[in-house]
Amino acid sequence: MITNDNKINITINDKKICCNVGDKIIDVADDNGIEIPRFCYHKKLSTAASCRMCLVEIEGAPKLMPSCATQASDNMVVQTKSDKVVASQKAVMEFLLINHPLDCPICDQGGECSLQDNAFSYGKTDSIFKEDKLVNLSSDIGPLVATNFNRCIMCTRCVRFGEEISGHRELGGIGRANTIEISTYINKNVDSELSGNIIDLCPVGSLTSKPSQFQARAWEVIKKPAIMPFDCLGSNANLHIKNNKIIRVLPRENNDINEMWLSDRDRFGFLGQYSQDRLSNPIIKKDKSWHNTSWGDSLAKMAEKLKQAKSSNIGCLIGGNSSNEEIFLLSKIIRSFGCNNIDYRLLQKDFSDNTKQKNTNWLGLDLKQLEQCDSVIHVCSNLRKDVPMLNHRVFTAYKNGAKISSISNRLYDFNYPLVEQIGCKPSNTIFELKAILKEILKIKPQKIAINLDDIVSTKEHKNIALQLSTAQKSVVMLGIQAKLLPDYTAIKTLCDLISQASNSIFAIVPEYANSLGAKLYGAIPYYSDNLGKNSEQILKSNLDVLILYNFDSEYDINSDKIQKAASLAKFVIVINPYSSQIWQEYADLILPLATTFESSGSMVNCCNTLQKYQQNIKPYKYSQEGWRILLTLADKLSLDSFKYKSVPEIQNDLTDIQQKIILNNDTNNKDIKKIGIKNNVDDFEVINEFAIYQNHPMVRRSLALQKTNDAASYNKLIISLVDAKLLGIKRDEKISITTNNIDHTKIITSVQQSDSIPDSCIFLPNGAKYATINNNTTIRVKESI
Amino acid sequence: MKNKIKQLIKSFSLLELLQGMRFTGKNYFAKKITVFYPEEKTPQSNRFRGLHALRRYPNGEERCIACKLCEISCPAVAITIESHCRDDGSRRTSSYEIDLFKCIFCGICQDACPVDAIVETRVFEYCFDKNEDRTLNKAKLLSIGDKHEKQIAYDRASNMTNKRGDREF
Ligand code: SF4
Ligand code: SF4
Ligand code: SF4
Ligand code: FES
Repeated sequence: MITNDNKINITINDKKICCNVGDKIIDVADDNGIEIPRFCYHKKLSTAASCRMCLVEIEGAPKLMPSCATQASDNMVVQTKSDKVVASQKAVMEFLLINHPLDCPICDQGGECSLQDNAFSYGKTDSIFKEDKLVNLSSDIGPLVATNFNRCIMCTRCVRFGEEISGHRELGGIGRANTIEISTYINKNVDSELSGNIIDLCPVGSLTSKPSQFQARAWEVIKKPAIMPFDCLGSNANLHIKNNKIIRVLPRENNDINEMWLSDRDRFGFLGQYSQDRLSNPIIKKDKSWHNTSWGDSLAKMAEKLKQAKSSNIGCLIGGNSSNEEIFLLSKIIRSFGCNNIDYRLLQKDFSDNTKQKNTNWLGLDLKQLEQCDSVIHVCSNLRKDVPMLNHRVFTAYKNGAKISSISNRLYDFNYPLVEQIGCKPSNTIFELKAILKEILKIKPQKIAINLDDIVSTKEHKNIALQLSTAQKSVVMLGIQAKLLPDYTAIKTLCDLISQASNSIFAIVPEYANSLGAKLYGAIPYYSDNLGKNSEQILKSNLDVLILYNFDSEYDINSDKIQKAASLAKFVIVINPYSSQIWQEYADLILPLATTFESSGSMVNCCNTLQKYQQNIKPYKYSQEGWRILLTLADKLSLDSFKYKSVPEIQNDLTDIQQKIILNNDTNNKDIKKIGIKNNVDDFEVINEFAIYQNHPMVRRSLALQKTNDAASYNKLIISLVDAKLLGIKRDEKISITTNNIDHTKIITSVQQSDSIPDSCIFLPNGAKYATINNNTTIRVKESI
Repeated sequence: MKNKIKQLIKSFSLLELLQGMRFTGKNYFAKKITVFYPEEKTPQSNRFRGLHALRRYPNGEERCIACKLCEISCPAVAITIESHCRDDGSRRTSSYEIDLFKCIFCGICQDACPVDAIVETRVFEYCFDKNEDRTLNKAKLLSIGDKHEKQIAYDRASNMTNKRGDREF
C-alpha cells in the first residue's frame, strides 16, 4: 500500500519500517539500527555491489540479493539473519580470507578493521583452503599513503573515490579475477590534494597513513573534536591524541562544511606542530644576546614600551590564522592607545578599497547553494589547491551539469573540464575582465559607468559571457591569488560589475583561515572612524613599537620588507609559535605562542559560520594561549574594559559583534584605476602565489606534506617555453634576477619551463630561499610597487 | 561420679601427653618435606611464571613486532609500549616497559603474544634496591631473554608436546 509522500512500508527481520521510494535496503537498515555487514558499499560513493557481504533474503526472490544495490519496494519482506543468509556470509568471509595474510598484529588497521570485525561476527572459525596464498607487491605511492596490497579485498572504494570525489582517477584495478591488483598503472605517486581520504575509505589495512604509521593503536587514542585552521573552510575533524601528542587527524562529518572528507593539508598539516623550531620560553634581547625571562617580566616590559610609545607610532601586524579572541583582544588593546595601525593583510599590495568600507568579504553563498549553481567563473583562482574542499563543491556542481571557466595568470590544472581557460599577464587581467563585461553588455544591454569602447574582445570572452548570462544561477568567484595582484581593487570591482550585469552571485574566497574574523573583530586599519596605517604603510614607517603576532618572517610576509621594518622600529615584539632567523636577528622580545590545537577559541569560516574549538593538547613547554597572554598584557597596562576570565566570556561579546555586521561583497568605489605596473617590453612581470603547502606556518613545517609533488613543484622559478628559448635558459639552470624595489640580486636554485605561464612573466615562489651569486643570465623583473 | 573417676584416671596416667608424644615421635623419624632454601629448591613447572623476558629469533632479530596485544590484555596495566617504524620499514617498539610492582604475574601477556616474544621465565629470585629498578625496560628484558633462551625454548617446546605441562611433583 503506497502511503502519502512516496512513503512505502517494508519489513526487515519482522520489524515494520516506513521508508522512501528508492531507498536502498542497506540504508533503511542502517537508519533503523539493523546491522548488515558490508565492504564495498559506502554512502557517498556509487554502488559497486562486488563484495557480496551484504546479501539478504527477500521473500519471493529466487536468490539472495545485495542489499546495497536493491531498492526497497512496497511490502517487501527482508530477512538479514536467516539460515541462508548466515551460510552465505560465512562463505563470503571464507572466500575473502583465502588470500588475506595473517597480518593483524603488524597491521595499522587492527582494532578498527571491517574485515576483522566481520570475520569475528559473521565468519567461520576455519577454512578448507590449503593452497598457497597470492602475493601482491606493494608500491610506493607517495609520502602520505602507505600501501600493503596483500591485504586488499578489491572492494574498489579507493578507485571509485578517485573517479567520483577527487575527480582524478589515480588508482585503478589492473587484471581480472584472482590476478586483479590495485595500482597506479605506472609506479607513480598519488598526487591528488584529497588523497588522504582513501585511508579512511579502505575498509582494511591496505591503505594506511604513512606519517602516523605504526605509532598507535586505535584503542589507545582519545578522540577530540577540532576545527582545522589551514584554510577558510574550517573543516571539522577529530584529533586522535595519545599522551598529549596528536597521532592523526580524521574527518568529523559535517554536511554543511566538509561532508565526511578532509583535504591532505587538513589531515597532515598538524605534523608541523612538532617541528624543531618551536619557541619554548619568553626571551628578551639584552646587549645583543638573548636571555630567558619570565612571562610576568616580559609582559611588564611590553606594557612599559607600549605606554612610552607615541600612539601613532605603534604598529601591529597579525596573522590571518589567529583566533577571533586573539584578534579581538589585540585590536582592542592597540585601539585603547587611540591607535589604528593594525592589519592582517600581510601580502596584499593594493589597499585602495580601504576607505571606511564596513563590508566584509565572504563567499556570498553557502556550500549547498554552490553545489546547485550551473555556472562558475574562477577569477585568479587555483581553487583546487587553494581550498580543496571548496573545489570539491564546484566539482559536484560540475557533475550536476554546471559549466565552469577560469581566468588566471597561470594556467592551473582543474579536476573538471573548463569551457574556457584564459591565462593572462597580471597587468592584463583587467582588460580580460573588461572584455567579458563588454560581451555581457552586448547580451544584456544595460547602463554601466565605465568606458569599454577601446576594449577588444574575442571568442573566449564571448563564450564566458554567454555561459554567465544564460545560466539560471551563476557564480563569479574571485580567488585568493587575486589578493597578491597590484590591481586587486580594480579586479574586485570588475568582478562585482560582471556579476551585477549578468545577475550572478559574487563570491570572494578568503585567503586565511580567519580572514572574516580578522575583519569582523578589528584587525584592519579602517575598523573605527579614524583610518590607521595598513600593512604596507606599517612596514614602511619608523615605529616606536612593532608587534608581530602569529606569522612567519618568510612566506607569510615579504621577508625583505619585514627585515627593513624591524630594523627601523625601536622595539620589536614577536609573539609566535615558531622561531626564525629573522626574528632572532631583529626582534627585541620574543614570546612563545600556543598553536591552534593547543588553545581554545573560535574562527569564522568563509560562509560566516562561527566555529568554536577547545584546547585539545597542552601548550608546548612554556608557551601560552594567545588570549591568556593578551589578557595578562591588558592587566599590566591596567586597562579596565578587559573583565574577561575565560574564552566563553569573550565569545559572548564576539557573537554580538558578528550579528551586527552585515556581510556583502559590494564594492563602493566604482571607478577602476589601473594602479599596477605599466607594460614595459623589457621587464618581466612577477607572478606570486599563495601555494597549497606554504599557506600556514604549521603546514610549512609538516615534513610529509613538503615531500609531496605539489610542494616540490612550488620551489622552482617558472618561465614560459618561449622565453626560455629566447633567453637560452635550460632546465634547472641557476639564474639571477634583478628586481626594481629590492636592491640585491636574487638567485633561485632551479628554473622550470612550462606553458602554463604567459610570456614575459616569471613565477617567483613567495619566500623562496635566495643567495647571491654571479651569473651571466639576468632577468630584469619589475615587481609591483 | 563415674565420669569424674574416668577423668582422674586419664589425667594421672598422662594418656593425652603420650598421644601427643606418639605424633611427635612418628614425625621425628619420618622423611622430611622441608626445603632448605636457598641451598635446596622446589621443582618448577615448565609453565612457571616468573620474571619477564623478551626473546629473539636465532638470527638475533628481536621477535616483538609492537602489536601491543600484551599491553592491552594486561589486567594490571603494567605494560607500556611505544611503537615506531624502524629504518628498514618494519614495525618495532621504541620502548617497552613492564612495571613489576603492578604486574600480578598472571601470564596473560605471554598468552596474548602472537610471536612468543614476551615470556615469563623461571627466574623468581630478584630484588631491587632502587625504585627505578622496578621497571624492566626493553634492554633489560632482552638481556634476560638472551641469558635464559635455552631454558625458555625448552619450556615452550615441552609445553607444546604436552599441553597440560609435565609437572614434576
Ligand atoms: S586488514 Fe584487517 S584483517 Fe587484514 S591484517 Fe589488517 S587488521 Fe588484520
Ligand atoms: S586498497 Fe582498500 S579501498 Fe582499495 S580496493 Fe583494496 S581494499 Fe578496497
Ligand atoms: S611482546 Fe608480543 S604481544 Fe607484546 S607487543 Fe610484542 S609482539 Fe605484541
Ligand atoms: S556491500 Fe553490497 S555487495 Fe559489497
